[in-house]
Parts: sequence; structure tokens; C-alpha cells
Amino acid sequence: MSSIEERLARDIAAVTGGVVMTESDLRDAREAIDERIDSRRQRGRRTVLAAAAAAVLMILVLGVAAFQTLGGDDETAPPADPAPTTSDPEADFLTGRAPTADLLQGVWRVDNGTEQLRFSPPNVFGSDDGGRLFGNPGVHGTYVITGDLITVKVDGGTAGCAGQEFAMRASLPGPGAMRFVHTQPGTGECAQIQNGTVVLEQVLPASPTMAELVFSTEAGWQPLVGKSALYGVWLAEGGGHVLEIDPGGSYYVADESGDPVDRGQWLLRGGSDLTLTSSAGSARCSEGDRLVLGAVEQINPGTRAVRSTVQENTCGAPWVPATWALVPHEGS
Amino acid sequence: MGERRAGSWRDAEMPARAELVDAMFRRHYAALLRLGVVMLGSREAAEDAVQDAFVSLHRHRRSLRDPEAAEAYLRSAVLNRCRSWVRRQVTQRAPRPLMLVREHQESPEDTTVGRHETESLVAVMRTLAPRQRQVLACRYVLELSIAETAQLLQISEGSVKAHTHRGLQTLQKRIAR
Repeated sequence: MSSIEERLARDIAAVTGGVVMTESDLRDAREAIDERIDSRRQRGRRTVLAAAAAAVLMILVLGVAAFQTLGGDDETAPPADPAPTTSDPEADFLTGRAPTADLLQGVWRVDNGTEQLRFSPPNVFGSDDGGRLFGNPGVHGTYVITGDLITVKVDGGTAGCAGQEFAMRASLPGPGAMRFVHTQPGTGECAQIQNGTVVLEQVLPASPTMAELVFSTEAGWQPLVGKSALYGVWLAEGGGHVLEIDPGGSYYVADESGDPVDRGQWLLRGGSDLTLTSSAGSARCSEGDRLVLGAVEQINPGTRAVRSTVQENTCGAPWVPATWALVPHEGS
Repeated sequence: MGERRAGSWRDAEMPARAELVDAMFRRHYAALLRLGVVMLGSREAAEDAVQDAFVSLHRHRRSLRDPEAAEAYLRSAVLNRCRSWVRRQVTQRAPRPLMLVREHQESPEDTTVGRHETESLVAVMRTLAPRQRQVLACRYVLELSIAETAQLLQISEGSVKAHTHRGLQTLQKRIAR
């Protein structure tokens, strides 16, 4: 057992050792469970009774309507009461607008900082928890929207979920915000919690809070501690573009469509000069175009960021802000 | 005839369900509560999660094969409820941008979880990604093997090893800061 494992086991034992259970605690807990079971049972009975009452009411309404129609009465039948509807248990959570392809388009992050998602035209879906959303995502596939339901069909990705289909109800309660309720989880690495809720914030187009992220221009900046400090998805200060730096040497720049507009290979020279060289697959730049960012520095006031000075920009790329902020991923 | 048979089946079912919940409660409640406290850092929230898992067991008893399946069901239900609880906390704090690490806010009435605990590695463990947190809880709180953890979380043994490794590595990095 490693020292970190030993320490974790010791700390867990200290926490669990502090959980004292008296006879009275156990009795109270048992009673609480019984009360919950009883209350659920009563709710179930009430639902059955309500459904039966609704059915009787419906029969009466239909009977009256049929009588009036068959009776040849010229008077217009009064409108029937609206049929009782099943209450939506997620109504309080799924507030705002229903999803559309336009509203989904772009890059999103799960609010707890573990995962990033992209929706791009015509119906491309991707998600990843390791900061490799464009290069080598955990899940890649297509999506379909039906009402408030987004169904994703996975066709590849490193998570090994190809062939699976999962679905979530979604709503957009305000600008740059989205909520999911998983209604059809996948399995294995794609096993979301049935009815589990997820809160997302839009990275591109940047949500109001993302667009307002600013970093000190003076204190706290330090030299880059190594190339691994660059790995991940970075949001251009003020929004507009994200830059993904992959450990394998590839980079991707995506715009607000959620699609890469430039891609190629990156290289860090002298520990502080970052060169991005466009490849033939770049949509906006020519093969061999170079963006050289010199004197790269980093800062971490709670959100990691890097800044640099532009030394060369042969493509005339518009995605060269003073500062990039890291969009968090698992373990970042 | 049909009605009478259905009635007698229901009558026989109820005590069986109550007995199962009773037996599982006596054997597992305390251990599951400890699991919940490690995962959530709050006894009150842990009690809520564990009690809810027992109510769910009562409802779904018929779909379980045997008592061992009931034990696995309870563990899984508690882990899922802990994850949902954390997500609900996140929902309440959703406007905060680029939140990297959540800190547990101890309530004044949370007497059994000492303040010193927030300094321990357990508190750091709660800030890990959900799957890493669950895997470490299975391995070091429930003391399950890699195979048992994989079965409980319905992931491969390779994933258990990877999440364990990454989780421990992250813990190491965070305490080294």
C-alpha cells in the first residue's frame, strides 16, 4: 500500500470512527424509514383514488358531450374541464426554454468542473472529461431533439460507448445556462444516474459570467511550469474561441459554432514560446501558417489562465487574445 | 377467485418486504451511514441518503434476486444518492463561474463530523470527480476488491484501476500544494 493510500485509509477510519450509533439513533432511523414508506404508500393510494375519480369524471364529461351531440342540439357544447394531467416531477428543475439546435450550438461545461460538451452543426455531439473535446473525446456521436428530449447516438470515442444511445430532458433557464435530467442512461463509462440532474454553463458562445472573466494584468503571473500546464481547453478572454492543447502535440481552435476552425501541431520552445502550426485540415488557415505566442506566463487565482505576446501570426488569426482561461476538466 | 388469490398474494408480500428491510437495516445501516458521512461530510445528509435507499429497497424488493443483491442495491443506491446530493449543492451554486473545488460547508448542528475532519484527506477526496470519489469509497470505505467494485459500479476492472490511480494521484497533488 502506498503512503497516500495508507493516509487515506487512516483518515477514513478517523472519520468513520467518529460516527457513533446509539440504540436510540438506530431506533429513530428505523422509525424514520417506516414513516417514509408509509407516506409513500399513502401517496400511492391517493394517486390511485385521484386517477379513479378522474376516470369517472372523464366518463361523465364524455357521456354529456355524446348526449348533446346525438341530441341534435344547436347550442355549442360548453367546454369540458381540462383533463387531469400527470404532474411533471422535474417541472421545478426544467424551467425556461426547450432545447433547439440553435440554442445548443457551441461548447458547454458541466458546472462541477468535470466534463465538457459540444453540439455543432448539423447534429454532432461530443463530450469529454479530460480536456480533449475536439482531439480525442470520450464520447462522439450525433444527437436528435424531440420536444425537450435530447437523444445521443454514440458512434465512437475513448470511453468505449460506441453503439449506445442515451437521452436526457433539457431546458435552458436563462442565457448561457442549461439543465439536464438523464432519462435514459447508458451503461459502463456512459452510465449516468437515472433521473440524475446536471447543470451546465455555456463556454461558447460565452455565458455572461464567462464573458466577464478578467485577470489581473500585473500581480501573480509566473513563468510556465512545463508543457503539461498547457493541456486542456482554454477560453479566449471575452469569449469567441476556445483553444485545445492535447498532450499528443495536436491543437484545435473552435469558434462559436462548436466546430474547429483551425487545427495543427503545437510546440513549446525554451519553456515559454508556444508555436501553433496549421495543418492541411485547417478550415480558416493554410497549411504551415504559424501563430507564435512568446513569453507564455501562467496565473492561478482559482481559475488557471495563461497569457503571452504575439510574435508571429501568418494566418491573421483573430483568436489571439491577451489571456486564455482554462475550462476545468476532471483532475485539472 | 382471481381477486382472492391476488389479495392473499399481496398480504403475504407485505411482511416479507418488511422483514427484508428489517434484516438489511440491522446488518448494514451503520456501515452505510459511515459511507454516507465519508462521501458527504454531513451526518444529516448521510442519514437522509441512507434512509432513502432503504425506502427504495422496500419498493424494488421484487426485482432483486437474493439478499446479496439487496446488499449491492443498497450500496449502489447510497452512492447514487450521495452523488445526487452533491449535484443538488452544485445546482444551488450554479451561477458561480469556473468553480474548480467545492468546499463543504459544515452546519452548526453537524456535531458528529468534527471540524478537524475538514483538514483531512477525506475532505480532499470529496472534491474529486464523481467516479473517482465512488471508486475510492468502494475500495477504502467499503473495502471492496477491484472485482467487487467493478461489479457494483458496473464498470470494467480496468476502469476501477484507472480511477483509483487517478484519484490517488490527484489527492497526492492536492495535498502537496
